[in-house]
Amino acid sequence: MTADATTAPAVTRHALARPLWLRLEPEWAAEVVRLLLPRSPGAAAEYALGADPLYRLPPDDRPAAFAQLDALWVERLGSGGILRDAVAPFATELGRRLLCVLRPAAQLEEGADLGRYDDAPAVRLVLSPRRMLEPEPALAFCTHEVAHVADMLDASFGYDPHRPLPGATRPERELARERFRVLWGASIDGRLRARGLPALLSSEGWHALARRAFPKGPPAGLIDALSRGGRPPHDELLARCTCEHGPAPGQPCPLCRFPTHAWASEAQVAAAAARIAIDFPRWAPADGACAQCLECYR
Amino acid sequence: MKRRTLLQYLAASGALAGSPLGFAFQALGPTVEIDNPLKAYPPRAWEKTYLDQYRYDSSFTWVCSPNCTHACRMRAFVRNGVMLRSEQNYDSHKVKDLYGNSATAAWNPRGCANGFTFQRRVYGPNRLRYPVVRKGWKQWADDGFPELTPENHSKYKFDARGQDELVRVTFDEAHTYVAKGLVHIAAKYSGDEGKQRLLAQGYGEEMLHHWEGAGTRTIKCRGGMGLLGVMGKYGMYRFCNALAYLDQHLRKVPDAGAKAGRLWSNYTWHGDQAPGHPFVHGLQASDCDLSDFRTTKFHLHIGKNLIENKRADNHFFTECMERGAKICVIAPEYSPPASKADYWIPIRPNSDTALLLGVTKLMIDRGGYDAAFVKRFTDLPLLVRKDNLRRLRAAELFEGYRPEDLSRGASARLWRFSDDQRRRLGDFVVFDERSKSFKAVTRDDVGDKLVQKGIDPALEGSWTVTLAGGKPVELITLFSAYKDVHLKDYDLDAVCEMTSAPRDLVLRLANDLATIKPACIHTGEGINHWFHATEVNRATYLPLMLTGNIGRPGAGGHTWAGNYKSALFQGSAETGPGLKGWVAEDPFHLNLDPKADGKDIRTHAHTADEEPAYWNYGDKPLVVNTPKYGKRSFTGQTHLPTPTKAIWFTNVNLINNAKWAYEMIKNVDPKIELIVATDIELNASVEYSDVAFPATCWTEFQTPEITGSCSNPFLQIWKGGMKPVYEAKDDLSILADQAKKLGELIGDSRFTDYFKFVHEGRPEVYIQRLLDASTTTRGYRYADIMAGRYGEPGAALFLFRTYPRVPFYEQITESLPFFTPTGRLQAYNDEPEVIEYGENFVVHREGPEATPYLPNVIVSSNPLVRPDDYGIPTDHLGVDERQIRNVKLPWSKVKTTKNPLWEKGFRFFCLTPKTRHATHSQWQVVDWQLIWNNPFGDPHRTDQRSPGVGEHSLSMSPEAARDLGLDEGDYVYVDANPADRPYVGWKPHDPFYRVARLMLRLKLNPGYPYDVVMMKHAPWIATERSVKAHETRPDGRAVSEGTSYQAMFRYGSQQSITRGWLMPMHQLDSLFHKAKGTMGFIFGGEADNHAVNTTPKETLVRITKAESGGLGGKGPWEPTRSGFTPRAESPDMQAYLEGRLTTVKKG
Repeated sequence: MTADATTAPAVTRHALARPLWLRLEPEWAAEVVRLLLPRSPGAAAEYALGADPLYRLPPDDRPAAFAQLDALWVERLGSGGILRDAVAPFATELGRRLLCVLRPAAQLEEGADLGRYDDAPAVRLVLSPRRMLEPEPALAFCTHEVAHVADMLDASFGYDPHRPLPGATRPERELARERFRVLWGASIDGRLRARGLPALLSSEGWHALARRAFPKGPPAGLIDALSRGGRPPHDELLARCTCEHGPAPGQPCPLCRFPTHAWASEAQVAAAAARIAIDFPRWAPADGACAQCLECYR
Repeated sequence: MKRRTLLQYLAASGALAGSPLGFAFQALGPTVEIDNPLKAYPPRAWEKTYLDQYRYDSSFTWVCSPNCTHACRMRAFVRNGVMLRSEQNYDSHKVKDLYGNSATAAWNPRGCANGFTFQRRVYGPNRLRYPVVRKGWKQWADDGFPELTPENHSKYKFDARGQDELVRVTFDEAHTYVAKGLVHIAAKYSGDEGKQRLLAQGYGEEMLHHWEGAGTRTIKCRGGMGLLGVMGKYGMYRFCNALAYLDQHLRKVPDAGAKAGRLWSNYTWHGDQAPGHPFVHGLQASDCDLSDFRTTKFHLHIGKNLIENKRADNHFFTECMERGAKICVIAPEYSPPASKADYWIPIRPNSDTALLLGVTKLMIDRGGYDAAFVKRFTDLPLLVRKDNLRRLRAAELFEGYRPEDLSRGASARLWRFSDDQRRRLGDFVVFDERSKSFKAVTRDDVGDKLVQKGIDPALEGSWTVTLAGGKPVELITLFSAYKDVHLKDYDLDAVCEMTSAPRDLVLRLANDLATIKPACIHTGEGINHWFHATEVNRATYLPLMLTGNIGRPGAGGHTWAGNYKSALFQGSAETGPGLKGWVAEDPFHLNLDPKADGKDIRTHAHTADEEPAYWNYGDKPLVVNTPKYGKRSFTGQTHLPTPTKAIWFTNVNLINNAKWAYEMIKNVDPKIELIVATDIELNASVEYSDVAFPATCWTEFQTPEITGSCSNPFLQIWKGGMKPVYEAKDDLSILADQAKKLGELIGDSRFTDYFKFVHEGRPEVYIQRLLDASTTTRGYRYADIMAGRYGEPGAALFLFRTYPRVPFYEQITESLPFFTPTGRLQAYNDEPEVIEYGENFVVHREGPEATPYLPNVIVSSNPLVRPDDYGIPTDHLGVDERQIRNVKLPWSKVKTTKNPLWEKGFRFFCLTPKTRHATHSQWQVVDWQLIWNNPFGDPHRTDQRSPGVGEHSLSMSPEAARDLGLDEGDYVYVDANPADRPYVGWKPHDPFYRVARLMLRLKLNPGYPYDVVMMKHAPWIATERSVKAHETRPDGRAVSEGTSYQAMFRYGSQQSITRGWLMPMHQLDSLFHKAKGTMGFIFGGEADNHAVNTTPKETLVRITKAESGGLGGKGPWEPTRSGFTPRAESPDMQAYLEGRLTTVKKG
């Protein structure tokens, strides 16, 4: 761990230092309105009063009009405030970037990233409209995601999207990607908590995720350090994600590199170790071997 | 006042002004009052958009002719030159024969989702668009074909075809390369020098038996399921015969001595033939028209799935229910046909023979047989010698026996049964109850002819007699041998233990078979894909032989797999050579008269049949060094292969569908110097070929094609109705042009003449000759058929004796002999090899691999079964040894034995049936089919581990999955015997192992027994390029770079777990049976008739978890997590399954 916790002051609700440039995907806004209207007594009728005349417009003009109406109602129903609160703590890092909010095709697509809107730099937040049904978790999620983008824009983090994931095979790289998500996420939540901002998961939550991503256990003390607000740079975080080989369920077999849940027993491995070593001089019995590979060296 | 009028009034009067509703209503305009909405409102112009979807400029009919056996005539609709869609043509009822008989309207409609989606293949991304040559091979040719030293093998990537590039060339360039390659290979392997080369490369002497000095014999040609297009596909065999010119050119031999290439089989190679049929009735295969199902009263369905695999015509099966027939299904799993059955008998895989022997015993013991039929048409009354286990021959018993003159009998008159053949077979002996004496019977003495001789053969009895030579021998009738000796091993208790079949259902089946007529038994590749399919096929006939359920409408034992039936174009002395006139016209006596009668075409096959199963076994026959006898060949001489140095195949995904495909790619094909594919699509076979020609598809044919079917009576001729989409040419044109190029290269114009009428653009001359020369089509004129004289233009009926076609109708109704040595349906075979293998009686054998017990053991204590074990110990694990070791044990001992492989954890039988959404490998990666074909179809590919918009899956019982810690949707490895799969010599660090090891998704299915898994066959395999793409493309798709080949697996394929087998019973020289293409008999091997069947089911697998099914490999697959999969049902799902979601309130 090389970086200390950031101790920037907490930002209060609606205290955005600079004007927010917000662009809502019309379908996102429409869905949010559809979901939230029934929760505000009388709002549906009022919304209808605004919407009904729009059907009198020429068909080509209606989408823009509805988009405008829905954007207005996103504000009125409180979702606009959530987005502003999520962005406000990172006003310095984000600069004058637009925040563009879009629907995901699948839940996996949710998250924030850098992007462009009409050739202007932007933050692209893919967000399920359903999240807005629960304001506090939504704020935590959005804040967490925007914090990722803030890291990406912070030169001291040294973010490089082209830096390859460690691993020789696709499964190894997938595992490394998962580990990186956990470590970076834990680091961000640690810093958010230090600033008094809502975090996505508790420290225990990140420990649980880390146990899945590191079946043999993450490097000692790493998650705790991150949860306290540590922020290693990008390359150092990645270095912590390398797949160690060893007999853990779902890990790649060090011989065939296929992920396996069927490791040979220590006794079986020991019996075949000499023959394995001929083909794999750098392999050690402690690395293990999957049951299928062992068939080759019985 | 109406609400609408009120609003209009209020708006006009300003009554709403200033009200909170004003804004909302001020924009309202006047509405229109409509009295009749259909007349004036709403505007209906928009409907044109939808109606226009079905507008077309023209239509044409075409025949959908994959290897499904249906050959359905479809109608395609074209707009702006684009084939938009196809639909069923509804023409069956109009189709007539030469005599005015017409097909039943019940055939309508014909066609299935394959035909409906064919346009997605025509225009699909997998079309092979232009000729290609592998870069390394091209370089080898350009370098002048230097010697293939180990260095050059690697330099020209013969050992890494799958990693090489495919280079676009013109047709002329491709033909030139292939011609040069064929000439080079034929020359290189001809004569003494060629012999030394082949021996030096490790081929055994036996591989040179049919080589006969000719390098052309190392060239193998395969027209894929030739009947699917007699001109373009079977035309490959005509091309092969033309190679006799090349041999003559190289070796300067006389015409008669010229050797052409070898013809690779189809039906047997696919494992589709019922290999036991020639043993029982002597015919290649028995199959009726599917419409004959309508006349049956008892339909026994064994290891077959007519519901999923006979889509166009499966209604005939389901109609059995409404027409009052009883249905019984025997299968390990609760299958789609089982759901239609009156009762389903679940059975341990590969134990059907035991069940049928048990049923036979029950029928005999309870008198449930037709004694008159048994005496007249079966071999059960014939006498067998107990000393040598041969049938007693009349000449052995009767001093100075003088055979009856049979020159006017049916055998000689109809099938040219020769004196030589008769001398070899002899006549037989029965004990006549009437005269109380032994009587000689000939193969013509069947049915009424036996009665007319006044012979009443005894069914039961045993005697000791003195032979003509003075030797005393014990004799027994076969009926007694079965009843009193052989079937004692198959009592009800033992059979239920062997098969796991429920006792009451076995009894019920025996009773139904004994009492219901007509009864039929239908089997298919489910049975034929086992190593001991021969025995199951033979056993299938035992109940039918006992009850006379043969040769009658609604009766018979039939096999359904593959459109193999070249015999439809049957030759005879009366009509001419049949199909042989097309595929084997004598190249040295060509008839170039376009008006010549097909009967007058001279034929001479300079080719020789060969079973690709030998290529599939390491390019060698089954020759084993036995402890008892030393080196011994179990491949009969009539079956022996030659070394494979060049292959050309058309219309078949040969490499993709080869059992043990990765062994072929890794260890066998590198020794082959030229692989040529002709196909419409860029499939795995093209990925591993040296040259590929793009062929037109069924809707693009520029010249007429002709086909028929084993399951319906329709003779079909058609042309395409659209221009070829890319550079494709008709496969027949490709063959003709290749022949011409060969001729140009060696200066022999006869090559061109051999396809004269193709070059002249009128291949219909050859079609007319075919029609003239065949018993089933003589009298038809091509022009009449195409003019619609017999119904839909291009369609007619084959000239069968009966509609529906009923096999053996003549044998039963006219007392004609069957095609066996005895002229009778045979329950016993006394060929020397069969006796040696212990299969003279129909016996149950465990498989050489797929068994929990001693591999290949014969379950019997019958003293008349005396197999030879060749001195091979019972614990020998060698694959050769396991196949030939014949050990006989009673069930009480068999059940205490163990298969070492089973003990190691390979405890799942893996069934590999056809899928309902594709025809073998065709349509497998059409997007729609790929989505429908498995539970993991997803057009969005949300989980980017998926190789495409769908992927292959393995079905397993929920209980077995639970015990293995598996959830539905998980990726699993499926590994078979690691001694030789996925290929011999695999190593974990070999990059090819990563390609070849099978990983796929798991599907749970409560219909499967605990130790049975199922994986549909013929999906598009993972190749080196597809795996590379999967691992390096950002989206993870398994689509090969540069070729657009789409794999259905991330890793491996169905063929990762299969291997080649060479069943000794499929390789006899002594088996007497009918030749497939002509009215005559042969001994020994003939491709597609008596030859090695492939048997992919002969495997045990071990299943282990690879990755979790949830997105990105995290957690369970979403339907499992949310409670929609077996064993993980949510309360709501359970309520749904139990019918509790809907309740009806009473009162």
